[in-house]
Amino acid sequence: MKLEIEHLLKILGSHRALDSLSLTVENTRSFVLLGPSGGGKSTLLRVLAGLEKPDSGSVRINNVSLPDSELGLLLYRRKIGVVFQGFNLFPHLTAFRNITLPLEVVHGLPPAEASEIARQLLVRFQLEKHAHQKPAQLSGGQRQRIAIARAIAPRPNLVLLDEPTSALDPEMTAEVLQMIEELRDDGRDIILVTHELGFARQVADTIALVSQGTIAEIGPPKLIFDGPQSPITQSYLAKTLRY
Amino acid sequence: MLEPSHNYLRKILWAPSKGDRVSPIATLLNGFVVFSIIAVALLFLLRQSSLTWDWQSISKYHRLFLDGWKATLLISLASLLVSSMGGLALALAQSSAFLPLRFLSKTYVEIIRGTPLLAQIYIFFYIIAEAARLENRYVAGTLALSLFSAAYIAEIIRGGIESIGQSQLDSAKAIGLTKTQTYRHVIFPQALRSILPPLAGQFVSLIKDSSLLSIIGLNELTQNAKNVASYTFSNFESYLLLAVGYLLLTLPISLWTRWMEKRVRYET
Ligand SMILES: Nc1ncnc2c1ncn2[C@@H]1O[C@H](COP(=O)(O)OP(=O)(O)OP(=O)(O)O)[C@@H](O)[C@H]1O
Ligand SMILES: [Mg+2]
Repeated sequence: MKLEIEHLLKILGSHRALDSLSLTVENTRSFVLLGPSGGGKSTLLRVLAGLEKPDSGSVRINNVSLPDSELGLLLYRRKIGVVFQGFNLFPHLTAFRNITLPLEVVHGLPPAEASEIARQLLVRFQLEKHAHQKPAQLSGGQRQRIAIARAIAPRPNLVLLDEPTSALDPEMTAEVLQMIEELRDDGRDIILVTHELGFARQVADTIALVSQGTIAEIGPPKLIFDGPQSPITQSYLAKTLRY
Repeated sequence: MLEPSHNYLRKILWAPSKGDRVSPIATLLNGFVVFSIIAVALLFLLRQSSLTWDWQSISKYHRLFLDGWKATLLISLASLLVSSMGGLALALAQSSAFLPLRFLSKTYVEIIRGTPLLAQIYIFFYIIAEAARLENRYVAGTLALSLFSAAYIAEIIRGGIESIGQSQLDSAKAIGLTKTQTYRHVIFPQALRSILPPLAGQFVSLIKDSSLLSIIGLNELTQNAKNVASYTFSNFESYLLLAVGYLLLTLPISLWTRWMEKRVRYET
């Protein structure tokens, strides 16, 4: 993946959530965003997901600009996979239907084909027991893994994940992280927001530190963890590693 | 080992812990108890009052009751349908991005909810229907009732739509659903859960409110019952039949929506 962002501005209320943020990332399969709370990570991811239009600035992914029009954005969103902070399954549908609904309704697959894709995904991630349960009957980790399965079912080239493990206990976190690692190994590009530093170091090709709506530091994991230049990175790592 | 008998009694008289179903036996026995209480109370009241029942003179007019009941049934069914569609349209208009449409819908709802149905029926019948050359008073009456009920249904549906959290809407958007698909697959199925109980109440009100149409001379159940009462001087018998007639229409609605509520139930 090649990602070029120039002077991205996004104002929420009266706050500059993204304040002239620029970055360039090349030859990266997995790009991890770290940074203090309120720094603008989720806002950046929402812009990249085509959910929020920036107030100004430009974003180019693999040399293609993010579309401007509503229709362009709709078609763009259909090509990528998104997993939000917290849980975002549809509570009135079973786990299985949560996966097949977008395949049938958005991507126009015949029901038999959609069911087959859902079944294979559930088997692959050891979730087939839970196919016919509703989200309320699943554990947090199971829910989040179903959400990831739903996001990757249409085979997107790019998957965006916003703190997919922030609401989970350590054991469930491990389950979900393993699933994310498999995505990367499948050859899908991922952009991940997380506070799991160990995982970030292990999985990332490039790490960016987002703070106060801009990039404090960007580089390969080794550089970020072993020789951080920016004081913001230093204090973020110190605080996060202490606990 | 047998359970001590007070345990059985407790299971019959008290609801099980949350989430468990009331057993069929408990339902049956408690239903019987309530029915008995009502029956005994009624018998007692009838004894105390010095009423003498006269079903004889009323029975001559059974056709009037039946016709009135059928008219009420048809008026209610038609209004139910028209006001549901109208209410849905008004609710969607209120969340429309096009401001004139939104304000129009809000104004309509406020005017209708702020004025008595009686006045609306007169105004609709003598001014609007007149101007529109709408001569059939049954159609006019049904429309007046529908326009009234639509405002309330609009508010109920709007409340349901607004109860859907932003994260659900974001999810729908992120997986690439269009606006229409989001309403169809995410908003409506989830909103139904909170809409159903007040909607059932509104439908029941609608059926009872149809009795007001007697003021523009529709021969529906209330009008016909009043007529029979005045022909035969058997007020109590007529109004008792009237009450039973309405119950026969409203009970199925209540039972149907309760059944629907169970079907759309899911935890969050
Ligand atoms: N609707 C809004 N109105 C005003 N300010 C907002 C709004 N939404 C978010 N913000 C602010 O924008 C800033 C960036 O928020 P964002 O959610 O992108 O941070 P984050 O880096 O994801 O934080 P966290 O790690 O806590 O998830 C925060 O300071 C937040 O308070
Ligand atoms: Mg965030």
